[in-house]
Amino acid sequence: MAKQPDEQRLELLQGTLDMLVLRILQWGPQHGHGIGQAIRAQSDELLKVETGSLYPALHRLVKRGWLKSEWGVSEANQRARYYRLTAAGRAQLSREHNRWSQLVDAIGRIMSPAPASKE
Amino acid sequence: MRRPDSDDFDEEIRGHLALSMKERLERGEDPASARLAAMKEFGNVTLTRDSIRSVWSSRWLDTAGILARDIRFAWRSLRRAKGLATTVVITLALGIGANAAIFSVVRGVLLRPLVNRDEDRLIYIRQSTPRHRRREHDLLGARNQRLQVARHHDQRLRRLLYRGLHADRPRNEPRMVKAGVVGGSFFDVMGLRPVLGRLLNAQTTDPRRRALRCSPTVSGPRRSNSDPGVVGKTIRLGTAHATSRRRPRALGAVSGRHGDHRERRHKPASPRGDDGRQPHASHDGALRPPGAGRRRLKRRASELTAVHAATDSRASRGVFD
Repeated sequence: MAKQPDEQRLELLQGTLDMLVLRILQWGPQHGHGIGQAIRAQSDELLKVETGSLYPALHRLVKRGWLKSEWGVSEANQRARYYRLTAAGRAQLSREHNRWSQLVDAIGRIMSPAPASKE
Repeated sequence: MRRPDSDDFDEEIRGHLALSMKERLERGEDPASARLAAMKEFGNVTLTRDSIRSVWSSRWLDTAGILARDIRFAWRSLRRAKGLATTVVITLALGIGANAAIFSVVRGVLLRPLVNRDEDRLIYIRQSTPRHRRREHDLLGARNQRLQVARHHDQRLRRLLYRGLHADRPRNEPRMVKAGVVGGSFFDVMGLRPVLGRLLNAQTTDPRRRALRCSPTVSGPRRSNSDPGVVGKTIRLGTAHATSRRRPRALGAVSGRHGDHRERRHKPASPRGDDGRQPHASHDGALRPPGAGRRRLKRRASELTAVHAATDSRASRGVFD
């Protein structure tokens, strides 16, 4: 995986971080560092989540009941807090995914309008 | 769900840094540069910790905590500089006190409406009878003269008034009282209402009627030791007798009437004092007719003065009932 220079990285759209976190955790429990690395890796290094945003977002999702956290031991042999998706979190992910699809579709229609059909 | 505390935040951040360092070490970086790079990538640890804490803390508790911290800091600072603290406290006390005093005056004089009805239509007339040695006629906003009825009044009246007013006090303690001589229509014109009992009116002060009525003043219950049953009771005032329904006939000095917006003729029934002199002044409040000019009122007041002088000698009986 080629590492992207910082100037080519994309800023996360506001409100999308929660959706991305929920999506990453769909595959299983993960700690904060792992979530950040996963977002970076799966976006081909285009998205980089700042820890100053990631950890407050994780705790906010826990507070809302969409995530659950528990202490575990990381691969560095260090205590780490692992987050996992709850049922409410799955439902929320589904809602956000639908809304995101609608948004992308609407913006796509504006930016790439379909050619007018010939009568 | 247990609310995480600061130790949890710190441990979570330490775990993140350890994982980040491990990745760098596995890529072949030396521990010092790996640690430095991990710290640099993480960013401001304190800010992140505060952001996490703000997720879990209540906004009100946060505000209260900040306020308490600021107060503690201010208190410690003031204790270190006692001279400054004293100066600040004195300055604030004087400033607040002065402002409160000024506002009290402004409120009382300018802002708070008078208790009178139609205060914008009330005028105040003062006059001196021609017998008064200064012979001053002070009308309609001209220079006010002191009402000196009490000084010139019959000594018997003064004794009666003062003894009567403090007769109900325990042990007859002397007390400064403020009194005025008004006509029966005074309360009607001023729009005043009694808390208890009833007030004088134009009929009850008619000098031709022998049975006159007098109601307790607004502060009657207080002066009667808060006894609301004082209305209608007989009050013995030394050698003189009076009831709360009677009053000295000589007190009916002036009258005015509202409703038709015309001043009425003054009916001075002023008693002659022990020194033989006439009470020299009387005053009246009347409802000024809307649109009435100052000149017209002055002319009317001059007429009243002439009438007053003419009736003065006839009405001066100087006796009490």
